[in-house]
Order: sequence, then C-alpha cells, then structure tokens
Amino acid sequence: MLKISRLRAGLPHRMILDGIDLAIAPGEVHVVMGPNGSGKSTLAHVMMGKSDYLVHEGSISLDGNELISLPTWQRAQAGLFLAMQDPIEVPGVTTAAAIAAALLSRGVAASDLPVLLEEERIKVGLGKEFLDRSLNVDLSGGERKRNETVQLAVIKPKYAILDEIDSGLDVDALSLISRRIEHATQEWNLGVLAITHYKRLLNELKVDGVHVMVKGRIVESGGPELAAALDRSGYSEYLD
Amino acid sequence: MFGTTARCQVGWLGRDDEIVLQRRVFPGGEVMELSKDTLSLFGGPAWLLAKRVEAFEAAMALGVPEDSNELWRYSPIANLDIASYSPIEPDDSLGLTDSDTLHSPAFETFVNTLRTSVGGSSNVIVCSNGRVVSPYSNLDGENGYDGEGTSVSIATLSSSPDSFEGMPWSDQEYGSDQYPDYFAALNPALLNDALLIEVSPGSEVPQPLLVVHVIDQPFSLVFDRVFLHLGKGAKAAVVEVAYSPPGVDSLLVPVTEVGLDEGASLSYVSIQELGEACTQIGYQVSRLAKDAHLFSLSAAFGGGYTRVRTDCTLEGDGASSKLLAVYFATGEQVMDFRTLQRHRAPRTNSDLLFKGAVAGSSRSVYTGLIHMQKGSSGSEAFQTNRNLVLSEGAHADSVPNLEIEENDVKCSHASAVGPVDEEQRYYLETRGIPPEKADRLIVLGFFDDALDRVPIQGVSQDLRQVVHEKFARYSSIAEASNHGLLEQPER
Repeated sequence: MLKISRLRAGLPHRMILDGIDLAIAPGEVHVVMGPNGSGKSTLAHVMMGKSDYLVHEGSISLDGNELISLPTWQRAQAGLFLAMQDPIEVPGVTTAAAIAAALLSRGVAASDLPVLLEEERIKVGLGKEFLDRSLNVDLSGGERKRNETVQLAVIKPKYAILDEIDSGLDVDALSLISRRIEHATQEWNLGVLAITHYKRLLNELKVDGVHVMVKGRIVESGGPELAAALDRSGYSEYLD
Repeated sequence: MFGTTARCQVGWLGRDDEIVLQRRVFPGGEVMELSKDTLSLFGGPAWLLAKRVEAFEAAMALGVPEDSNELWRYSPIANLDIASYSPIEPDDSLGLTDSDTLHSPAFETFVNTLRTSVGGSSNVIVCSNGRVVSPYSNLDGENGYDGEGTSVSIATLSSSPDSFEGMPWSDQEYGSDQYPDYFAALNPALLNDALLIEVSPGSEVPQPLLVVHVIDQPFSLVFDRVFLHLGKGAKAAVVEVAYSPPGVDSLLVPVTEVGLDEGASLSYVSIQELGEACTQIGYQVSRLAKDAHLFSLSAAFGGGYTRVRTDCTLEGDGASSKLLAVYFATGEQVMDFRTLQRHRAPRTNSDLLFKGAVAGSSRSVYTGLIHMQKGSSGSEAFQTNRNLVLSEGAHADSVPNLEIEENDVKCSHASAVGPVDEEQRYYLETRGIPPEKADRLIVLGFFDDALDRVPIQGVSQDLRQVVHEKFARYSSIAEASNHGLLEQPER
C-alpha cells in the first residue's frame, strides 16, 4: 500500500500541498486531475523527495515504511518511480546505461537487460536507436514519454507516479503507453498514481479512483464517472 | 650521465631593461650568453639559421608574457620559473638512443595500447625530448618509422632540412613580430628537430598515424614541432600524444602546424598525458584551403600548468572545421585553452566545443574568439565552452568572444560553468541510482558527449578509459577526504 496522510508541503515560504490524503493499493490506478497550479506536479516531486520542497507535516508510506526521511534514490529503491512530465536531458548517458545503473544499484544482475529493453521498446513503439542515445536529448515529446515507459517497465517499481504521461502524445502513442501500464497493473501488480488533464488516458487504463485537486487539496474523489463529468464541465465549480 | 654531458641552463636576467636569454654550461661554470650569435650551435642550413635569428629577435621583442595581457589573463604564467629549465644542446645525446623511458614497460604498454586503439597501425613516430627518434624499432619488433608506401612522406629537420624551408614557420598574421607570443617564437629559435608529414594529393592514408612525444629529461626546455600537410583531396588521420613520466619537471613548447590543401580532410587528435610536474605551452595552428575539412580534438589530462592555443584559419571558400577539446583537471592542475576561429573566406563553417571538468583545487581557463573577417559572408561559427566544477575549491574561467567585420554571417557562442546539474542528478535518482553513481554517470556522460564525435575508431574508447580512471582516482581521493582520511591539500 502506498499511503499519503495529512501531507502539507511546499517551497520555502510557500505552502502548496495543504493536507493531502490518498491511498493506493497494489494493482490499483488512481488519477489526480485538477486545474493548472493546483499542486499536482508538486505532489509528484514531494512524494519522490525532491530537495527543492519542504515537508511540513504528514506521512508518505510504502508498505508501512515511512519515506519522508529518505533521499530520492532510496524511495526509488523502496519501490517508487516517477515518470516525469518533462524528462530531463542527460547528455552522454544513454537510456540503456541509465537503466543498467538503476538495476545494478538495486543489486539486480542486468544480464538479460538487452532482451528486456528490446521487448519493452517494441511494446511502446520506441525506435531501437533511442536506447543508445543520450537520455532525452533531441527526443520529441512523444519519444520522451515512450522512453519513460520503457524505463518503468524494465525497472518494475511497486508504484509509479505518472506526471502527465499523456501530454504531447498522439492517439496511437497514448494507446500503446496506457495499454502497457494497464498490463503492468496485472503483470506485477503495479500501483499507479496518474496526474493528468485529460480523460483520454482513462480510455485504456482501468481506473479505481479519480481525485480532483484544487489549491493543494483533494476536493472530491470518485470513480471514472467523475473524470467524465470533469471533461464536460471543467473545474469551474471548484474554483471560487 | 650528468657529469659527462654538457647541460645548459637558460636564465632571464634584467640588464639595461632588456631581457637576456642566458646560457650557462655545466660543468665548469662557464657562462655564455645565448644570443643570436650563438644560435648557430643549434644547427641547420643558412635559411634555418636566419629563421632562428629572426625568431629569437621576435621572442626578445615580445618578451615573457604577463597575465595582464588578455591572452594570458587568468594564467599562472607569473609563477612559471623559466630560468629553471634549459634547452637541450644539439650535441647532447641524452635521451636519444638509450632513454630509459622509451624502453620502460610503462611506456611500451602506453604506446602499444594507443597503437591498438588506432587500429594497430605501424606508423608510430616517436620524438624524444624534442628529437625525432629515427628509426624507432622497439615496438613489437616492427620498424615504427614507416611511411607505408608513397602516399605519405615523413621527413625530419635533422636529416633533410631543406624539405622544411617552405613550411609555415612564422605568420604575418601575428603582426610585425610574426609570432603570437614569446614561447611560439622561441620554438623555431631553439628547436633541435622537427617532423614533416606530407600526404600526397588525392591519396587516402588507411591507418591513423601516431606521433608520440616523450619528455623525460628533467628541467629541460623542449621544443617539438610537427608540420602536417595534406595535398589536394588527401585524407588522413593523425593522433599526437605528449607523455612524460611522473616527476619529470620540464617545460614543453610543442607547435603543430596543419596545412590542408583544397578538399583535403584531416582527423586530428592530440592527447596530453604529461606527468604532473611537467609544464606545457602548446600551439595548434591550422590553415584550411577551399572545401578542406578539419576535425580536431584536444584531450588534456596531465601536467601541472598546461596550455594550448588553437588557431584555425578558414582561408578558402567552403572550408570547415570542428574543434573539440576535453579536459579534466584535479589536484593543483591548471589547464589553459585559448582559441581563435578565423574566417576569411565565404561560406566557411567552424564549430567549436570545449568541455572540461575541474576538481580538487584545480583550475581551468578558456578564452576564445570568433573572428569573422571581411570576405567571410555566408559563414557560420559556433563556440561552446562547458565546465563542470566538481569541488568547492576548483574554479573555471570561461570567456567567449566575437569579432564580426562582415555582413551575412551567423555566429553564436555559449559558455557554462557550474556544478553537476541537480535536475540531472535528481532524474537519475528517481530511477534508484544513488547520487555518487549518478554524478559519475553525468560526468562521464559529459565527456562522452564530446568523445562520441571522434571519427578515429578506438581513440574515443581509449580516451573514455582515461577519463574513467581519472574520475575513479579523483572520487576515491574525494571520498577519503570527506571521511577525514586525507589531509586537505595546502592552498
């Protein structure tokens, strides 16, 4: 179980998350939606332990282990993964090398890595050449998201935070990526927290909960029907 | 050896407000001024002696550079005790035939690794303390001094001086003194030998040529000079290496002059792996005719204070150059790079990328100029210098510059100095990679980004290995120092 309780966090001098509660069980998919500036990406980075943010109160636990005091890499090794909205360029470090280092850091032998990479890149339609290219350098938005998904699928975290994995994707890419993630929820019981603006991510992804986030709080939770309602009417009813 | 062979020492004394280059001969204490009248000691035909005198006078006129000079700004030139180095006398046979270094297992391993990297080429030319060792046949029992057919001709100044008369020894470009500075002028005045590699028009040299400069005479002032000339449409690759055993405190002044005729293409890599006591003040000069192409990578890892001035002139329509450097300074090292991209002809293109890392209490300096001269319309020039600062005590200066005298040209420059990017580290950490490992990936990747572009197969892998080893050494020192196992170096 990935559990967020009473989480208050933000930048120095600016509170952004104002009491978040959220629980995700293995294999579940939860979607956080909300207008720009509501703190969705902040939630993703606070969960991952990015040093820019301060946590004032609350808890983030994974299978009962508190993550708040752990550095990012230990949270990742505990089973958390963040697919970034804007994946960072790392010149000279290839996708294959980064994944190999990620596995080696966990003490996992990477002997069948080339085979795994090949399988996974085909599943999301990422060209073979990208595996040996510098991470995210000269990649289109869509290629970056496919690349993030390949990394997720090979690293096999317990829980993945997908920060707008659907932005910048065409319909076909979105379908491949969401199908891959849906499959992962069955394959190894991946739990998902997906941050998105669009209902279309939910077309291929079976969703267990939809949460509306406004001004750093979850103001409403429901099922897929809530996403459909938001798609029609927007967030205006929450904003005043 | 010291007792039997004459050694000379150069000193700079202020006398009548003039800088006097002085020569002392040991043993015996005889003091002799090294002047234009005594330059004939260094040998050569009349034209060369005239060249020596002219260069010597230029050196005296230019004077030892000071760091107030823009091109020596940020450099530790004021700390260089030139008087502690002596030029090697022409009749001094030291290091010529029985050099311990040339026969040392460390050196043979070094050279053989390089040869393997460049594809097992037999074209290895060794210059020992400023003299071409010819032939040098101790590498795998092969003759290392083989021009391989007629497409490449190799000559030395000591054996066929007249092949060198028409070579670019000096350049009006540098004004009435014809040399960019004091050290560049001293090179022809006092050199003992030079190497000329010519590739005949239209021919392609299948294997890279390897030129290894070894400096192992302590306290010596060593002048190396290599002329690389490619005829029309010729194609070649040359790897030049400077090597000195640790602890040899010498001053190396190497000059490499590249001349590319119309449509010629050269891939050139210079690797500086000097011992940390060694000082280098080097020059890489290239002139490109119409449609010629130069790829150049300068890799610097060793030395105490090491400097390379790179001047690339695009003289012919459509000429193009890629000028790269990688440097990694640790400890107390100072690495100094000055570049000039001179565009003289239309539709020329130059693309410069210098990338370096500084750690410990080391320093790096980069200053560069793109000069778009009259007549360079339709040309493009790029200049990028990126520096990773890995320790609080390390420092990098970076000053890019543009001078544009023509319309319709495109120029851009960029420079960056900073620590490992936090966003990059964070990204890798979100994959479960600990920060030390992430930093290692980022730093090595930073270099790979440049090394991947080297068109000479094997060399990039070899350089990557050098970077890995140096980073591993640095990391273990940094870690030990973090744990209080080492005393902080004195500043």
